[in-house]
Amino acid sequence: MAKQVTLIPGGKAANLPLEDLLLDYKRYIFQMSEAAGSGYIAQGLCSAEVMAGLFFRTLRLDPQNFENPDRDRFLLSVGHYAISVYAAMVKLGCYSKDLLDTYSFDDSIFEMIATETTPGIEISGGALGQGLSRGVGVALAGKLKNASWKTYVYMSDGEMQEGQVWEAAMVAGNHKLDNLITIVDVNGMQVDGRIEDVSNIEPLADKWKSFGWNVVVINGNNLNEVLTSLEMVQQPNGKPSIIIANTVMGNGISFLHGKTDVHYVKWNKELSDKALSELTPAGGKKA
Amino acid sequence: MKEIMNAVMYNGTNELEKKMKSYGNSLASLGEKHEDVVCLTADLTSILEVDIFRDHFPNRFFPMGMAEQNMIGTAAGLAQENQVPFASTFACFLTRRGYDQIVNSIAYPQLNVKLTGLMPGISSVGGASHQAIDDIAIMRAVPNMKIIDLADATESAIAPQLAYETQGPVYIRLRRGLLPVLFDPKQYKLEWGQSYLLRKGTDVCIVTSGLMTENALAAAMILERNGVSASVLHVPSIKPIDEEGIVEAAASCRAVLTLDNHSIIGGLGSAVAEVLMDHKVSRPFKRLGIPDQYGKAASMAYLSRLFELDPDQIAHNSVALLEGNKKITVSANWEPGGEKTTGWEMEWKN
Repeated sequence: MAKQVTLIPGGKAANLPLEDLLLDYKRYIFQMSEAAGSGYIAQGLCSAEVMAGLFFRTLRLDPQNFENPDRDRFLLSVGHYAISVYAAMVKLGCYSKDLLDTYSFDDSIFEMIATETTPGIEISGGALGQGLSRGVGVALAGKLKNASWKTYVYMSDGEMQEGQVWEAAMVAGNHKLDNLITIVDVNGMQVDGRIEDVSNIEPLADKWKSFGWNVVVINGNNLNEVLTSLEMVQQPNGKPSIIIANTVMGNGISFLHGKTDVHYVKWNKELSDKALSELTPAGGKKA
Repeated sequence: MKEIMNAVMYNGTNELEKKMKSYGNSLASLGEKHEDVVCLTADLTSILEVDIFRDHFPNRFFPMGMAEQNMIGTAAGLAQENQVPFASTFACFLTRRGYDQIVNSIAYPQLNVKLTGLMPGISSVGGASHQAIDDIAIMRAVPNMKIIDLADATESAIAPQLAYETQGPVYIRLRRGLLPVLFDPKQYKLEWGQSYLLRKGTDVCIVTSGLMTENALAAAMILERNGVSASVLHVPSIKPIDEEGIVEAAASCRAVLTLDNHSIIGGLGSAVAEVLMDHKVSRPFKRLGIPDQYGKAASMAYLSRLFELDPDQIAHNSVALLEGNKKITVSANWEPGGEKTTGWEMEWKN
């Protein structure tokens, strides 16, 4: 029998300052990309505040036992945001820091696109638009078991173009899955360019409302708004909830911020140093 | 390979007992025994025989509406939380609309989801849109997937329990409604990777599964009356497949004829061909099934005739194969023996 552990939101990061945690999170994003020579850095940065709010203040995870039945379920639908999840989970002590230097290497468990063959990753997220359905199933199981844990599904705005998302949205609303929380990262970009130019998905908030969901729209790069929204969706009211987090690709780094061609970025030590110098007065070195 | 001649209820002249909703009743019994069993449907609930489960266990029944992709993903989510989901709809919609979901949400993570595809091939009168002629082909290509093609009421009654006892993804392919009892339930045991020798002969080995098995038995009896000795090897477990049994049965005959209620591309016939090549067994060989074309909205009797799957046509093709594919004349006394396969309309009414 595994030892009973009381899980607290944010785990061992719960009492550490979010600014410090965020800086380390971004260091890890750069470190992983540097080792690999490239990475989904712009996504790692646009999702940073939401990931921090989730992993360091909200999710109840068990770094010692990924199968802990009481844990919150975090399902990464948009599999290439793996870099964000690895960074946050390394910070929580779920994985060894050594793994950062193996991101997307052959045989590494830090696959470029996260799948559930990696311990601690709940679903295989590469084929976009499938994660919310998995979340509906997990949330239904939670209801069957009267469980206290919640199901979180993290998606991207590009996924909203997949029909399966709306099949799942309809069923979640119909089944009143108020133990299901979805966060959608709206960075406005897809591989072919701006989503509004390729195949527009707006009005997103109205769409989700009409499917019977609680909808909160925030600036996803504003920590206070992130924390407030995650707090708001904790109280069950007979509806699933979605946080629409508007973000900027490559947020906060001048040569990535809001650029249209940064879906997948080549990276090296020089760029890491340059990026870190923009984030800290000390030029990236820990004070 | 098991020799089960004594368990075969069909003798060419007798009227077979028929049972209604064997699969659905058995699924409900499984739900009675195991609280972790849950059911999902994409509409069509009563046609899928899952209405019985729904009426007994409404809190474990999840109607997903006409949305197969989400049904498959939701089933995967339930399975990762240790429920045992049976997700069903017509075989064509299940495997075609949900293929990427089956691969990425179920098969790759090896989740414990049971997929039931009903009314495969010519057992649907709905035409090309409703006729799964490619489901075995595409499901065979999915790693971690097990496939079973059910022939009668006995197999359909065993299948839910077998699937439940099997850890991991399973694809169950079956007809619905009123089905003949081809195998004696007291003697018959359905197992993975097993094949069953229903008749033992020396001239032609007819390899069959599902809907085709009754016709294969009838064909073997026509052949016997015409002095041709036929084996009938029944292969419900399409994957894993009984390589040893197929090799043994094929090697003991002069020719091999396979039957598919499916396209001849990628079905049982293809699987048998692969096995025989792999094991260096060379025999005159023919696949009967749906040629590389679509079906159409027509009765099963019509389609069976069209695709040369009636007993007399199977017999005719067997002789042609043995005679080196020479044109032969069908003898006047070559008539389908015994009960003809049930028509879809009849099942629908029931």
